Amino acid sequence: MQPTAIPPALVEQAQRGDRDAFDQLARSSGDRCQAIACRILRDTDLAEDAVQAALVQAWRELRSLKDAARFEPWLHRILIRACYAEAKRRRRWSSAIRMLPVDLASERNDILTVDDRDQLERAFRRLTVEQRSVLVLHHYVGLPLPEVADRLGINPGTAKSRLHYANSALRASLEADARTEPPSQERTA
Amino acid sequence: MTTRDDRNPDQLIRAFLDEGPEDLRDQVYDEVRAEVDRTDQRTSFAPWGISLTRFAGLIAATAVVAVAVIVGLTFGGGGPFIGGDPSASPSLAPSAEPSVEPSAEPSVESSASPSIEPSAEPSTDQLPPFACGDSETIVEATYTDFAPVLLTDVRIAGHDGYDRVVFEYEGDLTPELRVTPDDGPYIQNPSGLPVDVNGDPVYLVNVTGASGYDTESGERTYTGSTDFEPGLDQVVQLIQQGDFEAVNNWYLGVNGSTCLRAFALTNPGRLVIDVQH
Repeated sequence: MQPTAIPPALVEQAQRGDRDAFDQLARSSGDRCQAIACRILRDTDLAEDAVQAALVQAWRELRSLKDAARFEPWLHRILIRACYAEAKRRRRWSSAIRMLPVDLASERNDILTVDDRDQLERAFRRLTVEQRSVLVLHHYVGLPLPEVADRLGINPGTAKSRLHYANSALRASLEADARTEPPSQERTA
Repeated sequence: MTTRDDRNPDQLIRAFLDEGPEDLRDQVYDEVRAEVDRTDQRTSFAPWGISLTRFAGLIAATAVVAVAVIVGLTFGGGGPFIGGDPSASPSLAPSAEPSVEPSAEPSVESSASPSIEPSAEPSTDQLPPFACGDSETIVEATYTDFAPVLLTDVRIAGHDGYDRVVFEYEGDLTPELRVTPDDGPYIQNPSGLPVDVNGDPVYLVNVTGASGYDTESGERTYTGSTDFEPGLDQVVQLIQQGDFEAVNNWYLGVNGSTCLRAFALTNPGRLVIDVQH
């Protein structure tokens, strides 16, 4: 995904208490935050709650941001923590699993079959929210591992092991699917 | 023709993650804006967010603390301490100092982690006076690094004339403490979820420059309770409000008292809040 350029001057304006400037910041960053949160939480409503909490938190704590040019990484760190909180909240009050709505998908990849999606979805949901976060920041946002570690506030070694585990789990699900399904199955969903 | 076995699993994982919503609904932006309009920004006190002037002030404060420690060691007899300065807030109306000697470190409620034996506490006449009313009680930080100091223990205990809350840190430095009356709403940070706090009044214990989580090692340094209900005369509840971005906040629910004092101790670094009976 392509990042939106956030002008540091706009961040500094918001740091001085300008609510309209922060509104612009939120609207520049919101879609990207929602995309990340959706992929970590696999639930649109929870993702919206996490993004809303993260943006409000960002407003409250904005003056503690030292480098205005680092607004987006800083915001993403808040967002990830908000995703962790939402995931815990969901575990508390509901065990129901809701799939991401297919009609909201930005685009469908022909490379994936229905079975691929099903297997990956199941395997992904078995990962911890911490493992999912590493996976999403690395594969979806496209960050190198050191940057993932920095954004999550963890050691690079921890990020590496989480990514390794998550990748292995997803690959294993695909391999299991390949062993049980005939190779001639229709590819596109 | 490509078969399933020929496909790159990593490519499939990326394709899987590429699918999904990428737009935030306008209604959410509107709700954020409405919340922002109702919410004030928090003033930044941490060195990673402060102005140069403020940082210079912190360095100066650290120098003052160092001098105070040396003087205390030379002439005081007791352990060094850093007291909240009542003169920093002109509206403070200090009450009479308690006439009792502080007892040993609290033992009523303690976390699972073993406590380090602290150094001797200052005698009563070395402690700052209790300040009553709605004012903010402040203890300046003694840290000199940009990294947060790490919380290792939280203890609460009743003493003759006051209840005491102690936050203990790794090493000898202490973060900045602000204790402010808080009428609510009470929310967790950063989730924004509501939290119930028993007691009236309730204080926000804002500890800036501290964390119970070591981001270097990835380990929690504080593994004790985050919700104490010690059943003391004054301290009804102490519940963690948040531990995020080097700000370690707690809500302190009290049984009617508005008279507090706060100070720092060294060896190990500790922040102490006393609530007068």
